[in-house]
Amino acid sequence: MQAVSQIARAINQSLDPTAVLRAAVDAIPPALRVDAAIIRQLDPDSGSLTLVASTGLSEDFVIQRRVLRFGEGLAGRVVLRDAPLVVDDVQTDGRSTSTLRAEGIRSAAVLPIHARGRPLGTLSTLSYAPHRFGIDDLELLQTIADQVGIAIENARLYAAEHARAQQLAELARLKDEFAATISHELRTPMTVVKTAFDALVRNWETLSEPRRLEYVRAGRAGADRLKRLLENLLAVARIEESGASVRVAPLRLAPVVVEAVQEIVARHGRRVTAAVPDELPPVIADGVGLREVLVHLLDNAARYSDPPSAIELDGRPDDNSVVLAVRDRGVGIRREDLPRLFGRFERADRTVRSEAGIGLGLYIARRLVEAMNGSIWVDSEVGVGSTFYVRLPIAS
Amino acid sequence: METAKRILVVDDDRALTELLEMLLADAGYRVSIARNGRDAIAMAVADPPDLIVLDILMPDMDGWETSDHLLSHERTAKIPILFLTARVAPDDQLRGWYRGCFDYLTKPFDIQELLEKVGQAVAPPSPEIEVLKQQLRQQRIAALEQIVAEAE
Repeated sequence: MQAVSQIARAINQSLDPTAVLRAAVDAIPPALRVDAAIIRQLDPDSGSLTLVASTGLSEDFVIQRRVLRFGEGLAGRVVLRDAPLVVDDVQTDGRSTSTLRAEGIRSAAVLPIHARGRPLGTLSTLSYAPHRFGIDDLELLQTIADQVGIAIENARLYAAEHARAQQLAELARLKDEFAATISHELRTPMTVVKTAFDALVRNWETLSEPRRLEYVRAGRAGADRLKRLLENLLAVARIEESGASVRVAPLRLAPVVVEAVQEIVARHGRRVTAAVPDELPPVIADGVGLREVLVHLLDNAARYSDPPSAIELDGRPDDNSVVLAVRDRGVGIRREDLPRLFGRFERADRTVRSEAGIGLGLYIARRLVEAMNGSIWVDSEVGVGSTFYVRLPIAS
Repeated sequence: METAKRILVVDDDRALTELLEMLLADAGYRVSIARNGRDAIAMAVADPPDLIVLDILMPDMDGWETSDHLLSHERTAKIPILFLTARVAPDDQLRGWYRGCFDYLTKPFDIQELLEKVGQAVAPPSPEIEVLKQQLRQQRIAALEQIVAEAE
């Protein structure tokens, strides 16, 4: 019984299952006067058994028999029948395996490990000399197997609970961050609008006619930005609700590109060099959706680069698709920010990219492109610039 | 005629800096613009202005770090800093005050208030105004500390 209390202590001391498994296999040979012990854990999906702790076996055996496929070996048989198995003479018994024989094992007892009625694995006890496993031995082994089962189950529950708690905390953090980001992003264009009108009202008499017009234009640009921010928020809400809605059909790219470029030129007064030849094959896409995608990409290019640096849009055929590329020579995106760039609440770290935009544009663009069976990705280097790519299938 | 006071505006938002440039120029100031902290420090050290209007969330180097550099550099340590930021949280405001800023205005700001603060910041030093400024500063810090304490 000393072995059982040793294992119970290990369980109480640690939520780390490996410590408990270690204690269990180490306690078995002296307690039962056998040579070796193995604990295997069951993968409920594949039915395979993986060795997770062992003692008293050769390195070769441990490596060779690390994973047993569904039903393989004595342990596999125990899982299948969900009952203990005792083999008095491994060397002659038909149920044993050649590796067990080669290892020189004479006697074996294998028990299933359960917790809360679910099979979790097996506990094997092996002896190089002939050994008769009596009722007492099997009872002791069953107690140990039960303890091990509790330990594995506790560790699993703890890990699941921990993961869940972390998930909830992460969700709460994202929500807080989203609210803070929206508040910040709305504040900036709102400031532009308010400042422009405040200045007009305060200084109307002293301002020249052209100066007044400058303020009015600045205010209107701020209002446009506010409007686009709200539209983006609504677009995201719609996508979250019912997915990106697109209607795909064969589409010529050049007119869509021209429209998107015109919009950006009007919005930012930046020059955009477009090289999307008329003779490119038509793609399967949604015209309105693709225009929106290109506007988001060009808008980012304009906002994250300084005039008069170049913004380029080109298209080229590639296999059964066309790849559009939007290139800027702006601030670029840090490598560690790239994987999250197309996420919903994510925006590259605000210390790299902080101008208004919430980063919803890229999320919307990704959802639209994916709904058109296309793909979107980015190459970027800090201080050099970014290139966003969109691949769309061609119409056959 | 008195030479115009010089203001360095540091903000990464192009639309806003253009507007501030117009507004401050119309009020008789000479304005220069930096769009990030690094440029701001280089410009301020090369040719110290009378006031720095500083945003906080900026690419590359944010306003906190920028103000640390400015305050630790002998050529720029005495230049008043006016934070002008969308960071409205009381603990951010406190952080600005602790740092010894001249004032902390949040976006969207009132231009009357901004122009008053700017006027005070570039005014020639006088003992009475100094005392008033210190009093105001203590009041603001006490009020913010109370808000932060209540929130916790």
